[in-house]
This record gives sequence, C-alpha cells and structure tokens, in this order.
Amino acid sequence: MKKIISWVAGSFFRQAGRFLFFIVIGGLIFLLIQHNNIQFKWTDLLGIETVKASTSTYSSRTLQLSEITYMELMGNDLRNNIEQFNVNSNYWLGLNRLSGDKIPVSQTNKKFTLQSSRFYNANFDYVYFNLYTMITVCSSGSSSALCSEISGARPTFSLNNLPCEIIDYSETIIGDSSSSNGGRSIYQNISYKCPNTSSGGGYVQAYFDNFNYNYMYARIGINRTIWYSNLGLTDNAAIIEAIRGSNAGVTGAIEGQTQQQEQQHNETMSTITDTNTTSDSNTTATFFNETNTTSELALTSIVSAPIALINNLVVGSHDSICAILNSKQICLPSGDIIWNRTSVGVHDHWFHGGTLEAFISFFNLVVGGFILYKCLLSLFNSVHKLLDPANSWVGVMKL
Amino acid sequence: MKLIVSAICGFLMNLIGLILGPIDTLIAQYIPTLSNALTSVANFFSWLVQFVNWALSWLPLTTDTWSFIVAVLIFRLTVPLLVDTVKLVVRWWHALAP
Repeated sequence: MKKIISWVAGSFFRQAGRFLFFIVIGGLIFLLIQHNNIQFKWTDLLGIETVKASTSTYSSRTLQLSEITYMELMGNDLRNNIEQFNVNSNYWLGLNRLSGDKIPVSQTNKKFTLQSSRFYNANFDYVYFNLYTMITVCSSGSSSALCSEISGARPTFSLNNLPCEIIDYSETIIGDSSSSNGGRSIYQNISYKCPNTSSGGGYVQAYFDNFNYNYMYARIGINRTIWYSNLGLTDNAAIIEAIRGSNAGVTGAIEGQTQQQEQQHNETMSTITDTNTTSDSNTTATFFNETNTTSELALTSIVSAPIALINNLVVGSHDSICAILNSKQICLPSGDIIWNRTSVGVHDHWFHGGTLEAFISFFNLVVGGFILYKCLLSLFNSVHKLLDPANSWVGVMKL
Repeated sequence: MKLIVSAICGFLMNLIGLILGPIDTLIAQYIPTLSNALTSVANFFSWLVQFVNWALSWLPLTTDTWSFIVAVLIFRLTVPLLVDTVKLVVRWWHALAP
C-alpha cells in the first residue's frame, strides 16, 4: 500500500512539474512576443510566407513594348529608341544600338533607367527582373589589367529607389584586350529580386558605378517576362529555377546542370587522387569553396541534409539562427561569440592565452578526452570483432 | 583527418547532386507545385541542420574532436559491414564448394 501511494504521488508530482514547466516556458514565449510586438507565424520556421491575395507562390507576366513609357541612358532621354530585341530566343525591352554607336561613359552618370506602371503588382511582395547588358571595354588601348577588372563587375539595381539583390548571375566574355580586335566584350544576364512597392513612379534603374570601362555598346534591356512572388528573403530557389527555365528552357537547364555536376564530380575525383600531399590544405579549401553545401535543388537538399550537418561540424561552420518575424530580423548568435574558434572578434584579447583558452583546453582535455577514449574503445571493440572469424552480424541480417 | 572527412562529405554531396539534379530540374519545370512542396521540406531540413549545428556550436569542443568522432562513426558503420560481408561470402563459398 505504501508503495502504491508513493508511486501515485510521485507520478502526480512529476506530471504537475512538467505541466508547470510548460506553462512557464509558454508564458515566457508569450511575454517575449508581446513585448516585441511580434506577429508570429509557424510558417516562418519553414521559410514560407503566406500568400496575401493569390493562390500561387509566384507568377509571371509578359511586358509589352508599349508598356515601357520612359528610358534614359547615361543622362540621355531615349524614350523614342525603346525597342524589343532578341537574344538567345529571349525577348528584351530596352536599347538596341549595336556596333558603331558606342556611347562614351562619363564618370558621374552611369545610369540606365526604365519606367513602367506594370512593374508593380499588389498581390505580391517581390518582383524579379532579368537585366541583359552587352559591354565593350579596352577598345581604346587600355591595359589588360583593366580588362581583367571588368570580369565579375555587376551593376547595382533598384526599383523605385529601393535596392534589389542579385539572385542569379551569368556572364560571357569574348575578345581580347587589343583595340585592333575590337576590344573585349562582356555579356551579362543578371536576375534581381526587388521589394515590390507602388510608390516612386515605377522606375527600375541600373547603376554601373563599379565599372571602369571606356565605351559601351548601348545594348541594355530587361526581359519581357518579369516574375512576382511572396517567397521569403532566403528562399530564392523555386523562383530561380522558374526564371532559369523561362530563360533557357528545360533542355538547356538540364544540360547545364548535368555539365556543372559532372565538372564538380571530376574535380572531386581529381582532388582525392592527387598524390601531392604538400598542397592538400589549399586544394581542399578551394574545392570546398566551390562546393554548394546549400544546394538550391529541393530533392538534393533533402537527401544531403545529414551530410551537410556532418560537413558543417567538421569544417567548423557555425551560423547564427535568424528568423524574420513581423519584418524584424531576430538572430541568436552561435557559440563562436564565446568560444571564438576562429580567433577573430571582440574577444581576441580575452581568448589568446587568457582564461577562456585555458577553459577550452581544460574542457577538451576532460570531456573531449573522455569522448575520444570512448570512441577509441568502441574502435578497438569493432576491430576485435572483425578479427573473430565466428562473429558476423551480416550473417544474421535478413538481407 | 578533417580533410579526409570533409572530402568524403563533399564527394557524397556532389554524387547526390549529380544523380538528383536532373530529376529536380524536371520536377521544377513540369510539376511546380510538387517542387514548391519539396522546397518547403528542404527548407525545413536546412533549418533543422542549422539549428542542430547552432546548438552544438555552444559546446566548446574543437573541430578536430568532432572530426575524430565522425571518422570513428564512419568507420564503425562501414568497415564492419564490408568485412562481415566478405566473411559471409567466403563462408558461403566454403559451404557450397564441392
């Protein structure tokens, strides 16, 4: 009887304690949300933002030539020169002057502007533009050093004076630096993600402030197909796939993706079979810079998630956890702000040779040493079982 | 040790991407609804990975320790299976040999 009462009372108080614990935690979360005036949505954790007035997460529309009402390039009003031109089966709207119509670029006004009331869609939070530029540099005897600088330079882009972010970029460089061969030309295809706003008059503007070119063939435009979405700030994968599919078609996208994967695979194999061990660190570091651990492909990301976790642990990549709640970005810092594994930061003076370094050494010696001891013991047992000819756990598996 | 484990992880991720990349592209092109759903699941997994990584970052263990633990786990999950399979095949060979 005494045992029964003790068991019942113990169970009751244990459950009461758990219940109280959950109430306290819930109350703290409630107070936090109320204090910060946060409108919490569970979908935020999944990277999904609810669609306000549309049943789909993204949509597109095709601009007409007549819907572009104003164009300006380098300070010149070119509204009578707006054209639709074709590049690689895609139709672009903008200026289409080719060779012979080079425009000298001043140092103060490197701006391309288009205006249309159709850039805004009330149902969506973001609008996407594909910018196409054809830029010729080094055609007046500039040095090859200047030519090399131009590669990778990307124009900044804004919609109604709100800056846009680059979500996809590709470039093709042809020609060389000699003026006799016409100079070097760069073709750029850039996808921008812009905050969708109606205030400002419907202007998109591309700035070329970081370009050190001399002349430019005036062939700049935006793709006729523009996209809208309500996808979150960090979730660009679906819309990038859609834009790429729209630009290149599914066949080209598959071929490009396959070639890229094959190239990465070959690089991996060549890295593994490299017998020159003196450059292991550099080779591997370069290789992993090119490895896309946050793949934009859904299935690939799902399957490779555990491997990504292991890789992050081993490489030592610790990111803060951030969530956008009611347009506020709240971040929980990673442990690196205390342990300072990278030895860079505000705790440098505290870390090097100080109390923290001593504590880390002590912790790794005691806890890490115990874990490693257990690992070695487990390893020894594994090897010991392998040496036993009668021990085979594969033999009892239902294969 | 760290480089070897990292190389294995990178190789596996690239191999998975090589196999599933075209399928992902096809799904994104022809079944965008399914692609959106898969992307949501992938985002959730990515968030989980980030969260676990963030939680473990508060342990003051060095990356070398983690590398060693992962390497031991890889060894324990792969080598015994391989060796035992070879032993099983050898045992079958002896049993079936005339």
